[in-house]
Amino acid sequence: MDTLIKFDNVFKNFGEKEVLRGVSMGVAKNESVVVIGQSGCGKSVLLKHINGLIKPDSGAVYVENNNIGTMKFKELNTVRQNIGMLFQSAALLDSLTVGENVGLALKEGMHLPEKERREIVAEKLALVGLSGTESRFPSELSGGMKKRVGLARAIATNPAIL
Amino acid sequence: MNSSVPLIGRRAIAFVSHLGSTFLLLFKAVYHFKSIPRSLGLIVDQCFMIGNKSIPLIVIISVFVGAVSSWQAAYQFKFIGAPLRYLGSAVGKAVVIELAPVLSALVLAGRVGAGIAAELGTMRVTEQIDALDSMGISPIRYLVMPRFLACVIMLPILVIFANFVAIAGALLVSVFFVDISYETFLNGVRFSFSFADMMGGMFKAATFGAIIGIFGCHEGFRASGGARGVGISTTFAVVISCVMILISDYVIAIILFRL
Ligand SMILES: Nc1ncnc2c1ncn2[C@@H]1O[C@H](COP(=O)(O)OP(=O)(O)OP(=O)(O)O)[C@@H](O)[C@H]1O
Ligand SMILES: [Mg+2]
Repeated sequence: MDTLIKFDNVFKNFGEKEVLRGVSMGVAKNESVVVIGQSGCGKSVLLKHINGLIKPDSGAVYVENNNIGTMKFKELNTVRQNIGMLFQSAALLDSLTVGENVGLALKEGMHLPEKERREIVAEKLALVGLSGTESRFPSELSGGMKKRVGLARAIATNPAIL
Repeated sequence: MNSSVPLIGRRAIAFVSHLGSTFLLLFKAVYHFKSIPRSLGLIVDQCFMIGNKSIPLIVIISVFVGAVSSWQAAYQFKFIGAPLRYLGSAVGKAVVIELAPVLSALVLAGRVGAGIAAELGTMRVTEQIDALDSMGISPIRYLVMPRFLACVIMLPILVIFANFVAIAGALLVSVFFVDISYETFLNGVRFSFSFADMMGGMFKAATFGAIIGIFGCHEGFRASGGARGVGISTTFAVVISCVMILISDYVIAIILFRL
Protein backbone atom coordinates (compact mmCIF):
# COMPACT_ATOMS: atom_id res chain seq x y z
CA MET A 1 0.00 0.00 0.00
CA ASP A 2 1.20 3.55 -0.65
CA THR A 3 1.99 5.72 2.33
CA LEU A 4 -0.11 8.84 2.45
CA ILE A 5 1.56 10.50 5.41
CA LYS A 6 5.12 9.93 6.51
CA PHE A 7 6.99 11.37 9.50
CA ASP A 8 10.75 11.08 9.25
CA ASN A 9 12.64 11.60 12.50
CA VAL A 10 10.70 14.74 13.49
CA PHE A 11 11.93 16.88 16.38
CA LYS A 12 10.01 19.81 17.84
CA ASN A 13 10.77 21.96 20.88
CA PHE A 14 8.90 24.89 22.35
CA GLY A 15 11.65 26.87 24.02
CA GLU A 16 13.28 24.49 26.51
CA LYS A 17 10.43 22.02 26.32
CA GLU A 18 11.00 18.97 24.14
CA VAL A 19 7.65 17.90 22.68
CA LEU A 20 8.44 15.61 19.74
CA ARG A 21 11.63 13.60 19.98
CA GLY A 22 12.41 11.82 16.73
CA VAL A 23 8.97 10.74 15.60
CA SER A 24 8.94 8.42 12.59
CA MET A 25 5.78 6.82 11.33
CA GLY A 26 3.73 6.17 8.24
CA VAL A 27 0.03 6.17 7.53
CA ALA A 28 -1.30 4.27 4.53
CA LYS A 29 -4.26 5.11 2.37
CA ASN A 30 -7.63 4.12 3.88
CA GLU A 31 -5.91 3.39 7.16
CA SER A 32 -7.31 4.75 10.42
CA VAL A 33 -4.72 5.62 13.01
CA VAL A 34 -5.25 6.46 16.63
CA VAL A 35 -2.63 8.42 18.52
CA ILE A 36 -2.99 7.97 22.26
CA GLY A 37 -1.07 9.63 25.02
CA GLN A 38 -1.28 11.62 28.17
CA SER A 39 -2.77 15.07 28.10
CA GLY A 40 -0.05 17.48 27.01
CA CYS A 41 2.23 14.83 25.52
CA GLY A 42 2.08 16.33 22.02
CA LYS A 43 -0.79 14.75 20.10
CA SER A 44 -2.18 18.04 18.82
CA VAL A 45 1.31 19.26 17.99
CA LEU A 46 1.90 16.06 16.01
CA LEU A 47 -1.32 16.58 14.02
CA LYS A 48 -0.52 20.20 13.25
CA HIS A 49 2.68 19.03 11.53
CA ILE A 50 0.65 17.17 8.93
CA ASN A 51 -0.82 20.30 7.38
CA GLY A 52 2.15 22.50 8.15
CA LEU A 53 0.55 24.67 10.84
CA ILE A 54 3.67 23.82 12.82
CA LYS A 55 7.02 23.26 11.14
CA PRO A 56 9.46 20.69 12.56
CA ASP A 57 12.78 21.84 14.04
CA SER A 58 14.44 18.94 12.26
CA GLY A 59 13.27 15.95 10.28
CA ALA A 60 10.56 16.09 7.64
CA VAL A 61 6.89 15.42 7.09
CA TYR A 62 5.64 14.04 3.78
CA VAL A 63 2.09 14.02 2.48
CA GLU A 64 1.66 12.00 -0.71
CA ASN A 65 5.47 12.04 -0.99
CA ASN A 66 5.64 15.84 -0.99
CA ASN A 67 7.71 17.45 1.73
CA ILE A 68 5.42 19.82 3.61
CA GLY A 69 8.36 21.88 4.86
CA THR A 70 9.85 22.80 1.48
CA MET A 71 6.60 23.27 -0.40
CA LYS A 72 5.58 26.55 -2.03
CA PHE A 73 2.70 28.33 -0.36
CA LYS A 74 0.32 27.64 -3.24
CA GLU A 75 1.04 23.91 -3.31
CA LEU A 76 0.70 23.78 0.46
CA ASN A 77 -2.76 25.32 0.21
CA THR A 78 -3.76 22.70 -2.34
CA VAL A 79 -2.54 19.93 -0.05
CA ARG A 80 -4.37 21.53 2.86
CA GLN A 81 -7.64 21.51 0.97
CA ASN A 82 -7.27 17.75 0.92
CA ILE A 83 -6.83 17.50 4.68
CA GLY A 84 -9.78 17.95 7.02
CA MET A 85 -8.83 19.04 10.50
CA LEU A 86 -11.06 19.21 13.54
CA PHE A 87 -9.61 21.52 16.16
CA GLN A 88 -9.72 20.71 19.84
CA SER A 89 -11.51 24.02 20.46
CA ALA A 90 -13.58 23.64 17.23
CA ALA A 91 -12.12 27.03 16.10
CA LEU A 92 -15.26 28.16 14.29
CA LEU A 93 -15.07 31.66 12.85
CA ASP A 94 -17.33 33.49 15.25
CA SER A 95 -18.26 36.28 12.83
CA LEU A 96 -19.78 33.73 10.42
CA THR A 97 -22.92 31.63 10.78
CA VAL A 98 -22.80 27.85 11.10
CA GLY A 99 -23.71 27.49 7.43
CA GLU A 100 -21.00 29.92 6.32
CA ASN A 101 -18.44 28.13 8.51
CA VAL A 102 -19.19 24.72 7.04
CA GLY A 103 -19.23 26.16 3.50
CA LEU A 104 -16.16 28.35 3.90
CA ALA A 105 -13.66 26.09 2.13
CA LEU A 106 -16.22 25.36 -0.59
CA LYS A 107 -16.63 29.09 -1.23
CA GLU A 108 -13.16 30.55 -0.70
CA GLY A 109 -11.09 27.52 -1.65
CA MET A 110 -13.08 25.68 -4.32
CA HIS A 111 -15.29 28.53 -5.57
CA LEU A 112 -18.44 26.44 -5.85
CA PRO A 113 -21.64 28.28 -6.77
CA GLU A 114 -24.00 29.23 -3.97
CA LYS A 115 -26.67 26.59 -4.67
CA GLU A 116 -24.23 23.70 -4.72
CA ARG A 117 -22.65 24.96 -1.51
CA ARG A 118 -25.98 25.10 0.24
CA GLU A 119 -26.71 21.49 -0.66
CA ILE A 120 -23.36 20.22 0.60
CA VAL A 121 -23.64 22.25 3.81
CA ALA A 122 -27.12 20.84 4.50
CA GLU A 123 -25.89 17.31 3.79
CA LYS A 124 -22.87 17.57 6.11
CA LEU A 125 -24.87 19.20 8.89
CA ALA A 126 -27.41 16.38 8.62
CA LEU A 127 -24.54 13.89 8.98
CA VAL A 128 -23.57 15.39 12.34
CA GLY A 129 -27.22 15.68 13.43
CA LEU A 130 -27.51 19.46 13.21
CA SER A 131 -29.88 19.97 10.29
CA GLY A 132 -31.42 23.41 10.10
CA THR A 133 -28.83 25.23 12.22
CA GLU A 134 -27.29 27.05 9.19
CA SER A 135 -28.25 30.55 10.23
CA ARG A 136 -27.19 30.34 13.87
CA PHE A 137 -23.94 31.81 15.14
CA PRO A 138 -21.27 29.74 16.92
CA SER A 139 -21.80 31.73 20.11
CA GLU A 140 -25.36 30.36 20.27
CA LEU A 141 -24.20 26.73 20.25
CA SER A 142 -23.21 24.38 23.06
CA GLY A 143 -19.66 23.03 23.26
CA GLY A 144 -20.65 19.69 21.79
CA MET A 145 -22.60 21.30 18.99
CA LYS A 146 -19.60 23.49 18.10
CA LYS A 147 -17.46 20.38 17.94
CA ARG A 148 -19.95 18.76 15.58
CA VAL A 149 -20.08 21.85 13.35
CA GLY A 150 -16.27 21.76 13.33
CA LEU A 151 -16.49 18.15 12.17
CA ALA A 152 -19.00 19.07 9.44
CA ARG A 153 -16.61 21.79 8.28
CA ALA A 154 -13.67 19.37 8.31
CA ILE A 155 -15.49 16.88 6.05
CA ALA A 156 -17.19 19.46 3.81
CA THR A 157 -14.63 19.10 1.02
CA ASN A 158 -14.51 15.29 1.27
CA PRO A 159 -10.81 15.41 2.15
CA ALA A 160 -8.62 12.35 1.65
CA ILE A 161 -7.07 12.84 5.07
CA LEU A 162 -9.07 13.56 8.18
CA MET B 1 20.43 35.51 25.77
CA ASN B 2 23.85 36.95 25.07
CA SER B 3 24.56 39.25 28.02
CA SER B 4 27.43 41.01 26.20
CA VAL B 5 24.82 42.82 24.14
CA PRO B 6 23.45 45.52 26.41
CA LEU B 7 19.73 45.62 27.08
CA ILE B 8 19.15 48.71 24.98
CA GLY B 9 20.85 47.07 22.02
CA ARG B 10 18.66 44.01 22.33
CA ARG B 11 15.57 46.20 22.50
CA ALA B 12 16.66 48.07 19.38
CA ILE B 13 17.27 44.83 17.51
CA ALA B 14 13.88 43.49 18.57
CA PHE B 15 12.21 46.72 17.45
CA VAL B 16 13.89 46.72 14.04
CA SER B 17 12.99 43.08 13.45
CA HIS B 18 9.43 43.88 14.49
CA LEU B 19 9.26 46.65 11.88
CA GLY B 20 10.78 44.25 9.37
CA SER B 21 8.07 41.67 9.92
CA THR B 22 5.45 44.42 9.60
CA PHE B 23 6.91 45.39 6.23
CA LEU B 24 6.87 41.74 5.20
CA LEU B 25 3.17 41.55 6.03
CA LEU B 26 2.66 44.76 4.03
CA PHE B 27 4.30 43.19 0.97
CA LYS B 28 2.21 40.05 1.36
CA ALA B 29 -0.97 42.13 1.65
CA VAL B 30 -0.06 44.05 -1.51
CA TYR B 31 0.76 40.78 -3.27
CA HIS B 32 -2.77 39.59 -2.52
CA PHE B 33 -4.21 42.65 -4.32
CA LYS B 34 -4.31 40.23 -7.26
CA SER B 35 -7.29 38.58 -5.54
CA ILE B 36 -9.22 41.83 -5.22
CA PRO B 37 -11.89 40.78 -7.77
CA ARG B 38 -12.91 37.66 -5.86
CA SER B 39 -12.59 39.35 -2.47
CA LEU B 40 -14.76 42.36 -3.32
CA GLY B 41 -17.46 41.36 -0.85
CA LEU B 42 -14.96 41.17 2.01
CA ILE B 43 -13.44 44.54 1.07
CA VAL B 44 -16.79 46.31 0.81
CA ASP B 45 -17.81 44.89 4.21
CA GLN B 46 -14.64 46.28 5.76
CA CYS B 47 -15.04 49.69 4.10
CA PHE B 48 -18.51 49.86 5.54
CA MET B 49 -17.36 48.82 9.01
CA ILE B 50 -14.57 51.38 9.01
CA GLY B 51 -16.29 54.24 7.24
CA ASN B 52 -19.85 54.25 8.35
CA LYS B 53 -19.25 53.76 12.03
CA SER B 54 -16.47 56.35 12.18
CA ILE B 55 -18.53 59.23 10.83
CA PRO B 56 -20.08 60.43 14.13
CA LEU B 57 -16.65 60.43 15.74
CA ILE B 58 -15.13 62.36 12.82
CA VAL B 59 -17.93 64.95 12.96
CA ILE B 60 -17.43 65.62 16.65
CA ILE B 61 -13.64 65.94 16.56
CA SER B 62 -13.67 67.98 13.33
CA VAL B 63 -16.11 70.61 14.61
CA PHE B 64 -13.87 71.22 17.59
CA VAL B 65 -10.64 71.05 15.61
CA GLY B 66 -11.98 73.75 13.27
CA ALA B 67 -13.35 75.82 16.13
CA VAL B 68 -10.18 75.81 18.18
CA SER B 69 -7.91 76.48 15.23
CA SER B 70 -9.99 79.50 14.29
CA TRP B 71 -9.93 80.79 17.85
CA GLN B 72 -6.21 80.15 18.26
CA ALA B 73 -5.34 81.75 14.92
CA ALA B 74 -7.42 84.85 15.71
CA TYR B 75 -5.65 85.11 19.06
CA GLN B 76 -2.26 85.01 17.37
CA PHE B 77 -3.33 87.37 14.56
CA LYS B 78 -4.34 89.94 17.16
CA PHE B 79 -1.03 89.55 18.95
CA ILE B 80 1.08 90.17 15.82
CA GLY B 81 -1.40 92.66 14.36
CA ALA B 82 -2.16 90.65 11.18
CA PRO B 83 -5.35 91.57 9.28
CA LEU B 84 -8.24 89.26 10.20
CA ARG B 85 -9.38 88.91 6.60
CA TYR B 86 -6.56 86.35 6.27
CA LEU B 87 -7.96 84.25 9.10
CA GLY B 88 -9.79 81.95 6.67
CA SER B 89 -6.60 81.48 4.65
CA ALA B 90 -4.54 80.42 7.63
CA VAL B 91 -7.20 78.13 9.10
CA GLY B 92 -8.18 76.59 5.76
CA LYS B 93 -4.62 75.63 4.88
CA ALA B 94 -3.86 74.29 8.32
CA VAL B 95 -6.99 72.14 8.31
CA VAL B 96 -6.53 70.71 4.82
CA ILE B 97 -2.81 69.99 5.02
CA GLU B 98 -2.31 69.06 8.62
CA LEU B 99 -5.09 69.12 11.16
CA ALA B 100 -7.82 67.08 9.50
CA PRO B 101 -5.56 64.25 8.27
CA VAL B 102 -3.44 63.93 11.40
CA LEU B 103 -6.10 64.30 14.07
CA SER B 104 -8.58 62.08 12.22
CA ALA B 105 -5.88 59.45 11.83
CA LEU B 106 -4.90 59.58 15.50
CA VAL B 107 -8.51 59.12 16.60
CA LEU B 108 -9.09 56.36 14.04
CA ALA B 109 -5.94 54.57 15.19
CA GLY B 110 -7.82 54.24 18.47
CA ARG B 111 -11.11 53.23 16.95
CA VAL B 112 -10.23 51.26 13.82
CA GLY B 113 -6.69 50.07 14.56
CA ALA B 114 -7.62 48.79 18.00
CA GLY B 115 -10.72 47.11 16.57
CA ILE B 116 -8.69 45.25 13.94
CA ALA B 117 -5.98 44.19 16.40
CA ALA B 118 -8.50 42.96 18.96
CA GLU B 119 -10.54 41.05 16.38
CA LEU B 120 -7.60 39.37 14.69
CA GLY B 121 -5.88 38.81 18.05
CA THR B 122 -8.91 36.97 19.36
CA MET B 123 -9.05 34.94 16.15
CA ARG B 124 -5.39 34.06 16.58
CA VAL B 125 -5.61 32.85 20.18
CA THR B 126 -8.81 30.85 19.53
CA GLU B 127 -7.15 29.05 16.58
CA GLN B 128 -9.54 30.61 14.03
CA ILE B 129 -6.58 31.75 11.94
CA ASP B 130 -5.06 28.25 12.11
CA ALA B 131 -8.44 26.92 10.99
CA LEU B 132 -8.34 29.15 7.89
CA ASP B 133 -4.80 27.94 7.15
CA SER B 134 -5.87 24.34 7.60
CA MET B 135 -8.62 24.80 5.01
CA GLY B 136 -6.11 26.15 2.51
CA ILE B 137 -7.53 29.67 2.75
CA SER B 138 -4.82 32.29 3.04
CA PRO B 139 -5.53 34.41 6.15
CA ILE B 140 -3.63 37.22 4.46
CA ARG B 141 -6.02 37.29 1.55
CA TYR B 142 -9.09 36.61 3.65
CA LEU B 143 -8.37 38.85 6.66
CA VAL B 144 -5.40 41.19 6.15
CA MET B 145 -5.77 42.40 2.57
CA PRO B 146 -9.43 43.51 2.88
CA ARG B 147 -8.79 45.37 6.14
CA PHE B 148 -5.62 47.00 4.87
CA LEU B 149 -7.20 48.10 1.60
CA ALA B 150 -10.35 49.35 3.34
CA CYS B 151 -8.22 51.55 5.64
CA VAL B 152 -6.28 52.98 2.68
CA ILE B 153 -9.52 53.75 0.83
CA MET B 154 -11.62 55.01 3.72
CA LEU B 155 -9.17 57.31 5.49
CA PRO B 156 -8.97 59.83 2.60
CA ILE B 157 -12.76 59.76 2.25
CA LEU B 158 -13.23 60.40 5.95
CA VAL B 159 -10.65 63.18 5.80
CA ILE B 160 -12.46 64.97 2.94
CA PHE B 161 -15.49 64.85 5.15
CA ALA B 162 -13.47 66.09 8.13
CA ASN B 163 -12.17 69.03 6.06
CA PHE B 164 -15.69 70.29 5.38
CA VAL B 165 -16.88 69.86 8.94
CA ALA B 166 -13.75 71.48 10.40
CA ILE B 167 -14.00 74.50 8.12
CA ALA B 168 -17.66 74.83 9.03
CA GLY B 169 -16.68 74.76 12.72
CA ALA B 170 -14.02 77.40 12.10
CA LEU B 171 -16.55 79.51 10.22
CA LEU B 172 -18.98 79.46 13.13
CA VAL B 173 -16.35 80.59 15.60
CA SER B 174 -15.15 83.36 13.25
CA VAL B 175 -18.64 84.70 12.70
CA PHE B 176 -19.85 84.53 16.27
CA PHE B 177 -16.74 85.25 18.30
CA VAL B 178 -14.11 86.90 16.10
CA ASP B 179 -16.44 89.36 14.47
CA ILE B 180 -15.73 88.84 10.81
CA SER B 181 -18.44 88.11 8.24
CA TYR B 182 -18.78 84.66 6.78
CA GLU B 183 -18.00 86.09 3.31
CA THR B 184 -14.70 87.46 4.52
CA PHE B 185 -13.83 84.15 6.13
CA LEU B 186 -14.78 82.06 3.09
CA ASN B 187 -12.96 84.42 0.72
CA GLY B 188 -9.91 83.87 2.86
CA VAL B 189 -10.33 80.09 2.61
CA ARG B 190 -10.78 80.31 -1.16
CA PHE B 191 -7.78 82.61 -1.54
CA SER B 192 -5.42 80.09 0.01
CA PHE B 193 -7.01 76.90 -1.30
CA SER B 194 -4.86 74.89 -3.67
CA PHE B 195 -5.59 71.58 -5.30
CA ALA B 196 -2.03 70.45 -4.62
CA ASP B 197 -2.51 70.98 -0.87
CA MET B 198 -5.70 69.01 -0.98
CA MET B 199 -3.94 66.13 -2.77
CA GLY B 200 -1.10 66.32 -0.26
CA GLY B 201 -3.62 65.98 2.57
CA MET B 202 -5.25 63.02 0.82
CA PHE B 203 -1.88 61.36 0.31
CA LYS B 204 -1.17 61.77 4.00
CA ALA B 205 -4.55 60.29 4.86
CA ALA B 206 -3.96 57.24 2.65
CA THR B 207 -0.54 56.71 4.22
CA PHE B 208 -1.98 56.97 7.71
CA GLY B 209 -4.70 54.51 6.69
CA ALA B 210 -2.02 52.07 5.54
CA ILE B 211 -0.21 52.46 8.87
CA ILE B 212 -3.37 51.88 10.92
CA GLY B 213 -4.39 48.89 8.82
CA ILE B 214 -1.07 47.10 8.67
CA PHE B 215 -0.12 47.57 12.33
CA GLY B 216 -3.63 46.57 13.43
CA CYS B 217 -3.35 43.35 11.43
CA HIS B 218 0.27 42.66 12.33
CA GLU B 219 -0.19 43.09 16.08
CA GLY B 220 -3.40 41.07 15.98
CA PHE B 221 -1.65 38.21 14.18
CA ARG B 222 1.15 38.22 16.73
CA ALA B 223 -1.17 37.98 19.72
CA SER B 224 -0.63 34.96 21.93
CA GLY B 225 -1.66 33.59 25.26
CA GLY B 226 -5.34 34.49 25.60
CA ALA B 227 -7.26 37.58 26.68
CA ARG B 228 -4.25 39.22 28.27
CA GLY B 229 -2.19 38.74 25.13
CA VAL B 230 -4.93 40.24 22.97
CA GLY B 231 -5.05 43.27 25.29
CA ILE B 232 -1.30 43.78 25.05
CA SER B 233 -1.37 43.49 21.25
CA THR B 234 -4.25 45.92 20.94
CA THR B 235 -2.57 48.54 23.09
CA PHE B 236 0.65 48.15 21.18
CA ALA B 237 -1.15 48.48 17.83
CA VAL B 238 -2.62 51.84 18.87
CA VAL B 239 0.62 53.20 20.31
CA ILE B 240 2.84 52.17 17.41
CA SER B 241 0.29 53.46 14.86
CA CYS B 242 0.14 56.88 16.53
CA VAL B 243 3.92 57.17 16.67
CA MET B 244 4.30 56.08 13.05
CA ILE B 245 1.55 58.49 11.93
CA LEU B 246 3.38 61.46 13.43
CA ILE B 247 6.78 60.37 12.10
CA SER B 248 5.45 59.79 8.58
CA ASP B 249 3.59 63.11 8.75
CA TYR B 250 6.90 64.87 9.18
CA VAL B 251 8.57 62.86 6.43
CA ILE B 252 5.74 63.59 3.99
CA ALA B 253 5.78 67.27 4.93
CA ILE B 254 9.45 67.72 4.08
CA ILE B 255 9.00 65.85 0.79
CA LEU B 256 5.72 67.37 -0.44
CA PHE B 257 5.55 70.80 1.11
CA ARG B 258 8.93 72.33 0.34
CA LEU B 259 9.76 75.62 2.04
N1 LIG C 1 2.39 27.12 20.96
C1 LIG C 1 2.99 26.49 21.98
N2 LIG C 1 3.93 27.11 22.70
C2 LIG C 1 4.53 26.48 23.73
N3 LIG C 1 4.26 25.24 24.11
C3 LIG C 1 3.33 24.55 23.45
C4 LIG C 1 2.64 25.15 22.34
N4 LIG C 1 1.78 24.24 21.85
C5 LIG C 1 1.92 23.15 22.62
N5 LIG C 1 2.86 23.33 23.58
C6 LIG C 1 3.28 22.32 24.57
O1 LIG C 1 3.45 21.12 23.89
C7 LIG C 1 2.95 20.07 24.65
C8 LIG C 1 2.04 19.19 23.82
O2 LIG C 1 0.85 19.91 23.52
P1 LIG C 1 -0.37 19.23 22.75
O3 LIG C 1 -1.38 20.29 22.56
O4 LIG C 1 0.14 18.56 21.53
O5 LIG C 1 -0.90 18.16 23.79
P2 LIG C 1 -1.97 17.02 23.55
O6 LIG C 1 -1.22 15.76 23.51
O7 LIG C 1 -2.80 17.36 22.37
O8 LIG C 1 -2.81 17.10 24.87
P3 LIG C 1 -4.41 16.98 25.08
O9 LIG C 1 -4.72 15.55 25.12
O10 LIG C 1 -4.63 17.63 26.41
O11 LIG C 1 -5.06 17.73 23.96
C9 LIG C 1 2.29 20.63 25.88
O12 LIG C 1 3.10 20.37 27.00
C10 LIG C 1 2.22 22.10 25.62
O13 LIG C 1 2.55 22.79 26.81
MG1 LIG D 1 -4.65 18.06 22.06
